[in-house]
Amino acid sequence: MFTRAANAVIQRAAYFSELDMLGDADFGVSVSKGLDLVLQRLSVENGDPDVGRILTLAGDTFSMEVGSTIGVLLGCALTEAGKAMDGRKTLDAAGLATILRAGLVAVEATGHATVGDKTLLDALEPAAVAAEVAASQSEGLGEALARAATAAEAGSEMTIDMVAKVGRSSYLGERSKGRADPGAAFIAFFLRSMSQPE
Amino acid sequence: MKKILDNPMSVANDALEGMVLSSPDVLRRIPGRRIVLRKDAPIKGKVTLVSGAGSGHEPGHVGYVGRGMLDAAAMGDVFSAPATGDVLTAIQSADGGLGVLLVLPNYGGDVLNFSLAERKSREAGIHAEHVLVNDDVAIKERSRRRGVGAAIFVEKIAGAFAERGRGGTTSLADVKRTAETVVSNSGSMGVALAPCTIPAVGRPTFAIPEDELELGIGIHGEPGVERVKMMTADAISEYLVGRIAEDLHLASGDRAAVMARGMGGTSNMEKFIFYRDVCRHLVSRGIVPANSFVGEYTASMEMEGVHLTLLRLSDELKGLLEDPTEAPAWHSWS
Repeated sequence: MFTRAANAVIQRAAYFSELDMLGDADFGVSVSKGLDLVLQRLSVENGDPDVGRILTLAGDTFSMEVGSTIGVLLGCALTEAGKAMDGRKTLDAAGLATILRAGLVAVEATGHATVGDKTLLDALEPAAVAAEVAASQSEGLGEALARAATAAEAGSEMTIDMVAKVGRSSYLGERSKGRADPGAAFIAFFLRSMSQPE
Repeated sequence: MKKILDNPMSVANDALEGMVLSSPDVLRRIPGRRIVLRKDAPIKGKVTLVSGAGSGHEPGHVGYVGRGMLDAAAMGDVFSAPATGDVLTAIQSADGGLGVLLVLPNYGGDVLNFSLAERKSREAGIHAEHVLVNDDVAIKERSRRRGVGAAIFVEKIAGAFAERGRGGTTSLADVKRTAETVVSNSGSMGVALAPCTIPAVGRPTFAIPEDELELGIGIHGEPGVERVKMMTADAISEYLVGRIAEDLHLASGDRAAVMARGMGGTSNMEKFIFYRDVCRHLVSRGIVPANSFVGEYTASMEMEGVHLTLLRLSDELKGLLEDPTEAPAWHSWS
């Protein structure tokens, strides 16, 4: 599931870079490079890595090897999610909620941004809330992912008309309106890919 | 996109390899990594200077590695902050035992990766600190100002200061203080006429009509703070000198080091016309252009435009600026 979503992002790398044109257009390249490296590392892991291990490995890779803003932000998010999911063998709605919430807290702490600043938080926060609702209603993972994806897509859509408050596009003031934030778009895209049936 | 390259996805590595090959007496690369060291690193008994940034600013920062400037540079992908792991390896490889000063441009990605690397080096027992370069006066709030040209002045002056203190007479705190003095006495601002194209993306970073220019640009090919009608070199220099001089409270009688940079796609002829006009406007304000630097230094690939950095000089800063260096890109007219 993770592999398929990762590959989908890699193929759409150009799209994410286009969104990042108001910044420096490195988003698509950076994220694809990171996901590629994670997939390579997972393929040589002994045994069948559990959910916690996948997240931790992805976190280390993004933090140390990718560079750029998104490398460190995703790295911290995945590392914290990995700690929260340590030892968990399978993923369910509650696990998804834990991952998204842990990631959200980590990104807020590392990036010093909040919801409304036009960042990936604007997709991640609604996604975390949606997953928590699904978990509280004892829904399955599939439903939780679909809810989270829909919420993230709506959040990403909202970023189109926002003025960027952090990051390179924030230097452009009002001119940063009119395009979705690439980080938010990425979160939405990734969750939607994960929620697609195999 | 029509560029001289082989593979759009490996331009950062390929260019770095070329730079190292062109200066084999001074530079060496850590195999497989985008990290360049002084050939004779680590230098014991001297405070170590490390910097880095995304690729695409050539000759910065690889060209500023060498005796008298940086001990190491870690480079990211085009316009991407270097990875934490590479900054950390650069620190560990160049550390001479007296502490490491990171010259950190104030861009989000650089701050995140360098900070993480700094923390990890300290955990590994290396005394690492950073100086934040935030000289771009186009941004009002100081804390949000981008690090642009002044980083090169920091690398030269702090590098010279560390070199003079070889033998352990200069501490990391001393070098950091000198570096911070350079930052607080520097101001920069630039304009762009045309964008650049990041090879992996294949299209220009923005579109702009023939009769307009971007005011208040960074160095990553992005649009400026404002778009205005095209101006003569004289009008551009009057504006930039005015903005920077005002921000720095440069007064009549002050001496300044002047760095007039092309953004990579601007001809030498244009750079020197710009420099001529900058000098006139400085002199008309009673400011003495005491040291001049015309070239690229930290470009934005083939972007067309110019960027100006002014550094208010004291006798000490002037002396350090004039100290010799083996960094391959310091002494050049382009």
